[in-house]
Amino acid sequence: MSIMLTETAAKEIRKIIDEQGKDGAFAPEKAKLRVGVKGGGCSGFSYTLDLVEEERGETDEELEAHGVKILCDMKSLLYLSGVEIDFKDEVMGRGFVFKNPNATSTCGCGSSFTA
Amino acid sequence: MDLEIAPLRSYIWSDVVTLSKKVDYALTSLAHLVENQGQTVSARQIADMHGLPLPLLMKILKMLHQHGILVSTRGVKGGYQLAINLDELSLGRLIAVVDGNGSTSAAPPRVESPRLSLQPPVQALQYKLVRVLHDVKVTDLVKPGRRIDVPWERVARQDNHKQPMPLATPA
Repeated sequence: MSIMLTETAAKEIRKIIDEQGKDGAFAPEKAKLRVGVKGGGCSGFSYTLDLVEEERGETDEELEAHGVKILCDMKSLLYLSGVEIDFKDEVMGRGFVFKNPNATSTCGCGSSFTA
Repeated sequence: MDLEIAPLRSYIWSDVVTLSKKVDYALTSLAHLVENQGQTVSARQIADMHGLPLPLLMKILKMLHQHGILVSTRGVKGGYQLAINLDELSLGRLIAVVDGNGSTSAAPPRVESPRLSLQPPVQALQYKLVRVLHDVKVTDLVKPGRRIDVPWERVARQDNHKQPMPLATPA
């Protein structure tokens, strides 16, 4: 069970962490990327990405990809196992794209999925 | 001031920015064919599935077929399949096929304003908009996975680390 982060996505995350670190939002060395799913959206679930400064909880899995520490709670991991998170900066928008092998369908608006 | 802006606004809104109903139906059909890649799908199946008017949809699919975007199979089990990789089809080209005469070149600006001073900026604007339409590939619009799931701003927001983690909701 794993979550993959492309090098492009990791680079962008590290950039955001560094920038926020300079602003004093948190210590860059302690920053982690919390990945999860939450109920919502027209297809049932939507993805969440949050930068946090917290230790691994009892129900969390901790992973690392391209120098970025990732936290994911076990419930979310059920829906995210094998997911690849990429970063896109194109005419369609700027942000993170999940390639989720567990998603049976995704909605047209691009904010939720069905597993 | 309003007199100068109004024609420009109506030009942009009516002719360039909004997608016509026909283009919308074409995109819906292409998305359906992407999801059912390898299968022959009839116009009726698409119309029934997405609640589209069959006669208009048949005309649109015929246009897509005539321009080599779809291949058709005749017969009882006939229908359409994709003929090309949608990575190679721009939104601009699709609009030209469905709404226009099939030419990919930009139509000359149809500036209705009698104020000649408006023409150069409108031409420049139209050139940029046409470039955008040609840069956007149909794949970007119809294929799942080619979208933004979490916008950059949501991750990079300054108060991000203070937000409580949303709990995952099991099915």
